[in-house]
Amino acid sequence: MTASSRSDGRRRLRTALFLLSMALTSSAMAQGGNEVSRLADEARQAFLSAEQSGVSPKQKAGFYQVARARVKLLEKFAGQDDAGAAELRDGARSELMRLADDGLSHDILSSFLLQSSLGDLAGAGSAADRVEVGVSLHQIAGEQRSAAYRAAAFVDLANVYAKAGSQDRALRYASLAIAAADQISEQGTRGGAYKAAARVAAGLGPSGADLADRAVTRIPQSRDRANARHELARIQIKGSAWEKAADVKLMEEAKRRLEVGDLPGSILLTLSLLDSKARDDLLSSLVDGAISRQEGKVAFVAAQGIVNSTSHEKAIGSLVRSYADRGIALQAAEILNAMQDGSGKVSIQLQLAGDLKQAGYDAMADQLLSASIRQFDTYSETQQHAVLPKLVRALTRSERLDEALRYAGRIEPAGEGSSSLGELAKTLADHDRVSDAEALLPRLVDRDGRSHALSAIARAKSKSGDIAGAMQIIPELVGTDDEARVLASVAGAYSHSGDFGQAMAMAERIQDAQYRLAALLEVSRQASRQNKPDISNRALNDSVQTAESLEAGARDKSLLAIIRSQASEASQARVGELVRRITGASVRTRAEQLIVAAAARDLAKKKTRGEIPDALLLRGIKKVEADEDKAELALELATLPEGGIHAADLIRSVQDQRLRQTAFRRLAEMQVDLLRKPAEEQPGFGASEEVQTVASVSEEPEETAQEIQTRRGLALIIGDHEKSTNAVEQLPHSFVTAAGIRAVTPWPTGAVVGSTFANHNPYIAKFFEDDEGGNTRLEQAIRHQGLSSPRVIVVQSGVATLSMVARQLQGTDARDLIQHGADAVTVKAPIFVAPGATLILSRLDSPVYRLSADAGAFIVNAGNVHIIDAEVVGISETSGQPLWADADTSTKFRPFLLTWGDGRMNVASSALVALGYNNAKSFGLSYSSGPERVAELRDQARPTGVVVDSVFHNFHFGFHSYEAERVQVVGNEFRDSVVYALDSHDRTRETIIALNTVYGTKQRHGITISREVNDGLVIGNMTFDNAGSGIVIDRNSTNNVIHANSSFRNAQDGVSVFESSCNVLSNNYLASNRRDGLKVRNSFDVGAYSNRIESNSSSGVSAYIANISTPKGGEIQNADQAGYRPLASLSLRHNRFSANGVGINTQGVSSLAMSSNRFVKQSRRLLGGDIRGLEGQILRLTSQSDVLIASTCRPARPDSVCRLRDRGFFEGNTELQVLRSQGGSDCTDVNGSVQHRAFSSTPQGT
Amino acid sequence: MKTVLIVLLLNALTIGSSYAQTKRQGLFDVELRRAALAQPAFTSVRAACLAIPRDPAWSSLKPVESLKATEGYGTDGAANSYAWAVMVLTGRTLAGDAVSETSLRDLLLAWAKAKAFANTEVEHDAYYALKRVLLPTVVAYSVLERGLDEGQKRELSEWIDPLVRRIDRNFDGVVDRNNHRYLADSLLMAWGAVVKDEALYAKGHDRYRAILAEARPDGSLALETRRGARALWYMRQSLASLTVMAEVAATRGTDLYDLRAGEVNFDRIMSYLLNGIAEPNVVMAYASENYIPGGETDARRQDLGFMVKRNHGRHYMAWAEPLIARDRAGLATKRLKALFVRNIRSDRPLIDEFVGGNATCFWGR
Repeated sequence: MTASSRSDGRRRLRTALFLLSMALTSSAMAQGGNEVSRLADEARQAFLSAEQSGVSPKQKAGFYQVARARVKLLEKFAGQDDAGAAELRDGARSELMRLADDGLSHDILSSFLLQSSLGDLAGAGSAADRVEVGVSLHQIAGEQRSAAYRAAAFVDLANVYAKAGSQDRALRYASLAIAAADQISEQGTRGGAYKAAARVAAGLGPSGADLADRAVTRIPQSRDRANARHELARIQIKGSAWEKAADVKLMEEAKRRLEVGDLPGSILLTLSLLDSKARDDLLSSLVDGAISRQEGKVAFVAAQGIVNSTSHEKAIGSLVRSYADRGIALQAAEILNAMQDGSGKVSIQLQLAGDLKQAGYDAMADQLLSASIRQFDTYSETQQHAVLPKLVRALTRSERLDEALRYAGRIEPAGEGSSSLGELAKTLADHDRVSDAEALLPRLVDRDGRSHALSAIARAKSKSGDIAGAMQIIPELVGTDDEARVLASVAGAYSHSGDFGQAMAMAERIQDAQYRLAALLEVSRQASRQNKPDISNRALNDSVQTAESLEAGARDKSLLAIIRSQASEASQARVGELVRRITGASVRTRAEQLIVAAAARDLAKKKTRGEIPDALLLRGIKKVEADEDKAELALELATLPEGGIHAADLIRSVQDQRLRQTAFRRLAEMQVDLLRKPAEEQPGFGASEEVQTVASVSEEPEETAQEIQTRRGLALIIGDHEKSTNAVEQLPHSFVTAAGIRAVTPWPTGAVVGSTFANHNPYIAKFFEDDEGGNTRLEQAIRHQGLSSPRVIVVQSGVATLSMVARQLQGTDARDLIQHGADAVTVKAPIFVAPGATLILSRLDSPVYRLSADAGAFIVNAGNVHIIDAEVVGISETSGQPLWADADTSTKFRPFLLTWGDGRMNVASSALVALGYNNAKSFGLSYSSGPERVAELRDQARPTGVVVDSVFHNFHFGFHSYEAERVQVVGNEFRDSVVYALDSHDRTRETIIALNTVYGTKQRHGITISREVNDGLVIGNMTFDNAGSGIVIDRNSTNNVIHANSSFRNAQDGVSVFESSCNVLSNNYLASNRRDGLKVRNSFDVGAYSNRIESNSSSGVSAYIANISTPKGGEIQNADQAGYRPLASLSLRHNRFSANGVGINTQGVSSLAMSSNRFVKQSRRLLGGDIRGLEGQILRLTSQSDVLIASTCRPARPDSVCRLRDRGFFEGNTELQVLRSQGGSDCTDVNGSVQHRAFSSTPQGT
Repeated sequence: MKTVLIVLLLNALTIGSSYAQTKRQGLFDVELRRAALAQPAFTSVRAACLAIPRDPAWSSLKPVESLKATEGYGTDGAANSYAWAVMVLTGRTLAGDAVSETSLRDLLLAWAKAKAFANTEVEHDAYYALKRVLLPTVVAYSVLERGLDEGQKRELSEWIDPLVRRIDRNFDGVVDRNNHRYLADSLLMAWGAVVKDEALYAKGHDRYRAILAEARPDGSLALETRRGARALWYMRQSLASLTVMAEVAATRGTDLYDLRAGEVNFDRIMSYLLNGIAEPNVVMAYASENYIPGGETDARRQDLGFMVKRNHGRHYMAWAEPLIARDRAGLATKRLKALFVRNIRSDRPLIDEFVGGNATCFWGR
């Protein structure tokens, strides 16, 4: 249908064509071959009619429309599969073949139709007509089957709209043309389509210029890119005074602009020049200038314009290098990926691979290295020889030394080859592969390179004790540094072996002051350790003399190094005197801090020996100022009794968040090691401690029977000591690290990014629904984006960084949704990472990622997200600051991160700040199965990921999971969370929560494991100063192991176990909590072994049953609590109770197995509740055997499976013996039973 | 009835009998054409053979020792006058102008004696110019052959043969696969047919099939349509060489016009060109690549200069003559004929190196 301005006419024509098509269809079906031929002839006739002279465009369009309709109909017949229509199908296929020979294919006819209809747009009188014509044209263009024709059609539309002054539409069509071009398989044609899109975009203002840049960057061949840059520059200067200027004049002006610092202006004129060497040279200079001014985009444009391939590659190489040197190597990814395959690209890739390997990004390095090797293997021998040195260097830096050696055999040992071999030899020696390194020596012709390699070999020999071998090498060294390194190494080896005479002699031979100083300090240290004060002093004096010989700045630094080394060793006076010699104020301050820190360390040692009270130590600790000193001291404090708490407090005051997190993880690791040791090996708990094993009063006469009845409805049952199992030993001792995640993060490549309407996306739409309070996110998004239907950024496929996403959206109508600057990427819309796609946030890409709360930004993924070495902040754009939240503001929107089913999110070595608010799935960092709309359609994998070595500051929930699986949360700091720090929830399974530090949670608990969360490990976490409990397991969560955690100073319990059976708590440190150390409610099969339970305000352990079905308020908090069992049984063995309000308190517990518990300085009551007054009997009996305290009313054993028991995590089965195997009540209805008493008393909530 | 008989006779003389194996082979059946041109029905065509007068100055044309690569875009035109003389004289000779025949023979012998073009620079642009000038030379030889003694035949053959064989070489570039190569293939095939060198002929024949196979399903040739404003220009040029190859095959009874490789046949390629001529923007799907486009850098301004006679007398649509004469079935031929009548016929005679000379004289009706 022609795009006419007469709507009625169009409708009539459409109807007529439709009826005609229907008639033709049925008629053709009926008559077969003849009709097929007739259709083809009609198409030909219509086409020929259009070619007649004197036919108007409108008439032409009508004829083309008819011809196209016939072709479509034939295609329909040709596509039929049923055997009955075979004749029709084959006939249609033959006719289509003939029509194609006649040039009448669908796409060609559509092209004709489009061309004859384009004029309709200008002729459309009313806005409504324009819209209708636009729709019609869009349909014709969009239906082009070949991507090349489609791209060309969109370019045509962009041109038409640009001429009509509709810039946004023109921009949209230029963008669509680029998207269509992406689908073109022929490289050259694809490049051509990008060029065409760039040409039209370049005339569309700044946004168009961005789009044009994007289009040019996608052109696959560098020569074509250069050509496109020239064309765009000519378009830009059109109409200016320079349009018709001769090249000589343009060149002069370009140089003048370069001199005055107008780089963009100079580049524009230079690109306008015709291809010449002078043009390339000037562009190369402009690239250098732009790089030095850190104007990467400008440099890239200039580099793209260079025609000569060598110069072009050199410029791109410099640019990539500059990004790598600035620590943002991933910003070079698009540039590198866009490079044409060739030796230039390989060289750059190899260098970058080495850099990435050094930074720990192993997978990225491997990807680049492997791509380079694949390319390398296709080269001719001559080409390979040119690249070999770079390949060997990259392999060396990537520590793929065997491969490096393999390729090294083919290197020409001259120039770059020799230095590459030298680096390999040095690295081999550093890896103690001395013989491999020595084998390369004959091929090292470069003097310096050979000397460096020899120096490394000598040091390796010295380290292995072959001092003579090392010394033999010294005469061959040519640089003082190389010699100094060897002599320092030898001096160290002598001092370690106690030959201080030789050690001093070697140190004194060193000419370089810094190396001599280091050697002397090492000698001094070793001498002091080996109790040789004279030698130590002499070495120290020599080092001071060496420092004094230096000029001011270097002298101060050297003196500081001496003080750092000797602060704990030398006398106060001596060190003080050294400090006074320092002239620089800041260095002197630092020296003084070191002395204070050394004094504090000294106090810690004294405390270890019991020489000073706690107060004195704490005073010393408070004086320590510098972050690094605090971190260092904290690790020393950790070995003291209760030192873990002091250490945690000290680390908490460290300002540098990365240092703080690292120190916390180290402390957590040390605490695990300490807590895992037997009690007598733990600091401060030697044989001399005062252990109460027997209470002073016994209320019951001694009985010798195996079962002793008490008058309280309890029986004491004596059994043999059951042997401890070693299942705890099977628990992992090491956990994932950030390095492990960094190493698997992939190189960004092949990213396809776009935007779509948010409410159409099933993963996002939920977040635009009204919340419970009636607030609608949709309104906010509409307001902010200024669009009636808000948009969401989509990473569709490939691996993208967030700044890559920002760049790809520049020039599109989604450009305002994300901004990219030198300091930060600011996200102003939701981002969705589709299944199979990957998004990377890393400091190698941007220093900070800011998610705008005002704009309703968040990130949701069903693909992969890697947040690695990154800083992600939820901000208020108004203030430009993090949007902090507390209990009062928790319903106010803040950005969040959510991983849906099929998705993976890794967060490693990152700082995440001010995210999450009180709305489902929007809590902060969440993993959740779903969304329902997708889950209903297909099976999904449960969301998963690794969260490691990161800082989570002021999240609504630091971590939240819903039906997630195998998530590992390890080594993180969660501070000042609003509701929970860690919340593993709702059927999440096999989670590992380890070595985290959790504190300052404002409303509830530190670590929560709630609602059928099973098979998890909670190991080595430190959780303190939280508003609720340190760790909570509730709502039927089973088979979890809570091991070696430190939970202290929480407003509620150290660990609470509510309505959750089959859980084991071992080797935990539960101290100074304001309720109980361990609280167990309505839970059975709970084992608590080898825990240290100290100074908790209420009980060390409180176990009870309670009626939670009718709480005080009259409403059940959680519907599933109605199904709980009022049954409690637990096993307490090898625990150490100290200074708690009550040692152990039970109410309504059906069975309590005890053995080998120790009560140390438990000056108040040992036992309370139902077992109050049984201290004497119990303690006496448990010192000899296992004792089971059982209710005389024995409830039925619930039908449940306890895998942990099967796996040997429980020590004995005694506590289960008293439960009936089948039948019977839970005893809460049996008058006089302990269960009845407890159940009838006031309900207790959490 | 009389008209019918004349048509039948013409068909027999022009096409049907060309399939007879006893006839001479080459770009066309020389003797058959000579006979046809003698018929009254061909008076106007014969006039086209003789339309361009012989220039006496041609006898003193100085042999070109070597053709060279040019700076920038374009081809060495040093042999343009020679080629023009050869093409005009060949047509005139075919039409029975004895003076022209003598002039043509002398011209060729003189240039052969001088070993013209022997030192042509080994560079693809220079070789392109050589191919261009050799095709009319080969046709001229085939037209002259009847009147040459053995020594003259040998002398000319020994000059032309190595030059033809020389152009069958690769330059490790796209010129080994684009219209440069097609021109070479048409020349190899024509010379192979003339001297009965089956291997040479087969090279061209095989390449014809390969060209069809390399074409896109819409009939466009990737290496030509990328040339920006020159996309249609080079499509047309490729078709000229394909036409030469098909006509050479036709003299041996082989129908390459109906050959299909993959989906593509001759008509499909021609239809693509005709579509582009009708609506140049349809080539923008490929022309936007703008690869070495020549003087016009805006790909949207397709160069249709080949639709009119050039100022040096050539008409680059000359290859349409054999197709019009052949009058094959199908829309492509129908459209070409309409175009021919509308825009080209009035420019007759159509002379062009790429089709071997005076196409109106060789095939026109």
